[in-house]
Amino acid sequence: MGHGERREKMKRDIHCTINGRKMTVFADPCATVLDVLRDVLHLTGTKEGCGTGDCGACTILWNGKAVNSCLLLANRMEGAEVWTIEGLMKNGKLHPIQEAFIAEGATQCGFCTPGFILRTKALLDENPRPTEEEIVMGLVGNICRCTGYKAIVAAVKSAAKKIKR
Amino acid sequence: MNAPLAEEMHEPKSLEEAITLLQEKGEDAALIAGGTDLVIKLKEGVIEPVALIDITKLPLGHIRGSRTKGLQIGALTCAKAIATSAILKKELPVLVDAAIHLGGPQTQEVATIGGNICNASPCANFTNVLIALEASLKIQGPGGERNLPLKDFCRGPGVTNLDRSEILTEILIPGIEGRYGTSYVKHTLRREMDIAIVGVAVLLIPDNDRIRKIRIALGSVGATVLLAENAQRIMEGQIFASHLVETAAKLAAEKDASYIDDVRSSAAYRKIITENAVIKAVKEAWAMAKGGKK
Repeated sequence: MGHGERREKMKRDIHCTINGRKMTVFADPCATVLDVLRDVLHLTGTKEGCGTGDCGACTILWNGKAVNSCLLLANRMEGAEVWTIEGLMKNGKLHPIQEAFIAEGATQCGFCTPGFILRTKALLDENPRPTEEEIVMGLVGNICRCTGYKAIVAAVKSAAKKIKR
Repeated sequence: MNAPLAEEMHEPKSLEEAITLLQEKGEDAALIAGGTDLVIKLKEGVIEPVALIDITKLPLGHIRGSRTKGLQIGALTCAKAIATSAILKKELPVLVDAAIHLGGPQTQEVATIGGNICNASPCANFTNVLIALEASLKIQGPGGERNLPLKDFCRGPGVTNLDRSEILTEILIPGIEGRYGTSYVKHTLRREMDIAIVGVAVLLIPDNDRIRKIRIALGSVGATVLLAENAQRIMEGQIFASHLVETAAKLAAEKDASYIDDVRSSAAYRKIITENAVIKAVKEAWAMAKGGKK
């Protein structure tokens, strides 16, 4: 049996809520959540960087927690609420965190940005008024290889202010 | 799309069911909890199980007890739960230190204390600290339950004394009465998100100006986390003094630890760091024991 055929045999219905929509996804429970999001659901905003949980590019919100989707297997999507970057926009308007990243120029090539934004969302949901140290410590699991982190930290600060208002 | 990581996914609802599955599947099975170490091994082909047995539905996520009477931590307790536990912050903050420095926030949300131990890395944060605390493990198998001191659990990198059909269910930390000090010094090149070049964890029980008891666990300087038995022996019963700590640290670095060159550090560098990290950790533990609350 080839890979494709084996995977077809293993697939099952996974019931979950993705970006606020209840759905049933027919997928391999042993695949990573990242692969299911990108290849089955075509939600390609979630990026694969290292694939080993070091860079944070694949960060999603899973039951309110920021996790690396490259290391989470799809069986754990059952009954779960998942948010990806595609789900943050509301009524055609960007989320305040997205707006802050644009305003501060906290993105260059943009590959790490979805992960940073979702990690920021989890951070601000938990701690709406983080200190600079808390922001830096909160983002240690995300790597950016072009901008440096100053603009990113500034964006998180500005997003915190915007959300508070 | 990448190659399948396994062919079957099982999600037992009870410990009995999980153990039966392990017996049925034998060598073809791997247990998975947080998956932050295991999925990397699956991707790299280090292990190639047919069946994954996801045990995250089992009710093993508890933190109970007190420092004086002893603490029990369920094997599925995640690093985040330990890092934010009100009980542990108050009763045994050295475990909180181990959790805060275990990978980044995304890892801490799902990585479990049991997984950190069973992955059997000589660099494992929790194992390092728990060996200093003289923790033991509650292990459940087809024949019932057994207890094993954590220091005897790992046999080498990635190899444990767990039988194929056994599951680690709980970590038991013995009670510590009266004054005590702890410290965990983790030396890394990056401040966060890095694996220890050397890790030193200390538990110290004072007796006025003497060291009544000391446990020094050395991580990343051997095939498993080791106790610095030579260093411990020369310190116990002695009056605390800088020269004593320095002599003991030299002994720990020269006699207790064994070094290899690897991708993170040379053996020679590890030796220098070990000596200094032991001095720092013992002094911190002493300061806490003398200044801390009873």
